Amino acid sequence: MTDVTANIVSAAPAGSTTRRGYWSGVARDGRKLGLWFVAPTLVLLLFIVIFPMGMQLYLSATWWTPLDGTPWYLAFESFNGGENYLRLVTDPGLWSALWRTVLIMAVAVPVQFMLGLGLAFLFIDQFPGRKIFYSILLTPMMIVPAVVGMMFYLLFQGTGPINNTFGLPASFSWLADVNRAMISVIIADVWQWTPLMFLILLAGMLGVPQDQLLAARLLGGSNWQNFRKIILPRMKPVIAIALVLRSVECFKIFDLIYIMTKGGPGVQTETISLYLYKQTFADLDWSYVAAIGLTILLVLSLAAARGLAYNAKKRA
Amino acid sequence: MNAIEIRGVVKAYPKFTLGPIDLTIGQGEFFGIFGPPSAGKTSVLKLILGLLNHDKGSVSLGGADASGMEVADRNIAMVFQNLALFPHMSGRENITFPLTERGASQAEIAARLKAVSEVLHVDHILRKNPAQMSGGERQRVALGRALAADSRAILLDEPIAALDTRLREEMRIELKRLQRSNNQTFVYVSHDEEEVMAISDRVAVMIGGRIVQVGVPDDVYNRPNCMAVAQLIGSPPMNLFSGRFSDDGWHFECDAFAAPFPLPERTRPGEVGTLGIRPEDIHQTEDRGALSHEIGISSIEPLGGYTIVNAMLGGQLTKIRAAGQIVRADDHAKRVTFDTRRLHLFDAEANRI
Repeated sequence: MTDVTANIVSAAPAGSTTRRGYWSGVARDGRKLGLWFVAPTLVLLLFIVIFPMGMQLYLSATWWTPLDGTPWYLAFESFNGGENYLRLVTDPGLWSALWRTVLIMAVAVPVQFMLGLGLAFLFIDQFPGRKIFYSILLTPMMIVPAVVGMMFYLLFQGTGPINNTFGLPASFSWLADVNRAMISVIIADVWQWTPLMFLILLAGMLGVPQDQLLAARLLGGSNWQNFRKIILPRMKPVIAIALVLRSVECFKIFDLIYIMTKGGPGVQTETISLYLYKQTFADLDWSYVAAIGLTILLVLSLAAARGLAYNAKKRA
Repeated sequence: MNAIEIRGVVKAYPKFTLGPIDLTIGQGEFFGIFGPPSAGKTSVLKLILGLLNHDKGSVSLGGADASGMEVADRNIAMVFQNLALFPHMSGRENITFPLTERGASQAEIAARLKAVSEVLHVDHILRKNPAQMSGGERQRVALGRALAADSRAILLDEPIAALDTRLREEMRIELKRLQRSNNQTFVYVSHDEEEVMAISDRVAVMIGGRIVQVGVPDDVYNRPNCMAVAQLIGSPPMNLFSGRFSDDGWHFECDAFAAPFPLPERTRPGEVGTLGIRPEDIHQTEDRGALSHEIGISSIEPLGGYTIVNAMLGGQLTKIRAAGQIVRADDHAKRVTFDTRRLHLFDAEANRI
């Protein structure tokens, strides 16, 4: 049977080789072999991605909680259809956490973007000490977020350096204040992640060929005009990636806030991931947490795909 | 009035020193700068553009000192080797870029675009993006952009090096036509000797950061002022025989020659020197006299209109350019004479005598 197919394929005129034809004969055996080579990775992927996600999907459709004492694989006994999903739609705690997350995103990401863009603009040309400043600028990004959280926790103490510097009394509190807690958290996040923006945007800017910039300069463009007309249009894909990346990461912000405020005062800085954490360990409501997690994953994936699809379309 | 004037400019790099450079380029001149790679050609362009902080000397543009002039205010356009077109703009936007940048009126832009696209024949590609254009079309748009700027001078840094040979020859003629019809000052840089010689009104030959000779192409070719220029200009290169001038100064003695070579005039009696002869100035002969030399032909390169004969002349490989097509080595005479009117004599310091 195999021989016959091979004959037919080889009898086909040159140039008409289809994808199928290409994969027949020896090449097809090669593909089988290739499958064996990637098998270990596939198994790994199965256990660290597909299995947990399947389990999450399964649990999210039940009332299961570790308090019951029922093993998780028997969770179907408390199958409830989509009730967890109905619950999350009407959960005021979830919605307010979501709102706070979006607020952080809406403030922090544009600020990081503008700062990163401005810094990157300064770093296009050579200047003495550029390498040193470059390294210093990138440091915050490399610090563990929990450590950054601790740093800012200490900085924002009533008797801490910030109040001292600005001559504010010890009673002027940042982290325990209903409004300023959020500002503090955003400042810490901006401090840590502006460097990443800077890095991505600078790479995008340096990707524009020097000759084109020089040509624009010779032809009478000012720096700002050249930036707007030559550099910025070519940076669109990079900008899209940077914005999508940082926006998605805002939904994952956890350690920083956990260390600085633990989501407080009250729930003033409780973001979606802190809310999830509290539901998981304080209320042990695991099936509900699974439903929230899956929903966020789905929404974020769609949003990110949309953001990046714009890129793909542009390039085509 | 001179468009560009460079006086005694020196720029020291860690491993290379540029200059002192003295150069005067007239308004409406097609000026070629030729030199082997890393001779400092691009540095001279940067000097004119104001991208190089020189240590000594002065640059003036249109009679005015340029030391305080910003790059953008120098009013000099440039065509880059890779053209540096803006890929996200159409042909039209590329060409009108300098005009929109300077805030020209719509009417002015339209008029200028029309004038430029007429001389360049680019009407049909104005809507295309650079990625959709052919090499020659991109070339035209890049030139158009430089022309539209209506600048003091246009610098061209190996602008056609990336094109294939046939297109390169076409663009060469085109460039010359454009330069003439616009009475534009062109500064044309290339490491292709033939290209520069064919196109320029005057040529500067650069070697090792210095300008070694400036002159009309004819001068540079027929009266190279030193051995380095003689070797650089001309293809195949000039044949050089080192030896010494006889004690009475009427002969050149060289181990390669069977007999001392008679000179047309008395030259440097007793000094060491070099005799140069271009491949096309060596002629076949049947004469067996003292003026002829015996050669042993090692290979021939028939190139259609002419043939390059590689021959051993007294133990030294010599290139001879013979007219017509010679297919067999036997068809070339076994003896040659040098055209004594076209000898190039150099002294011990390799300078022209």
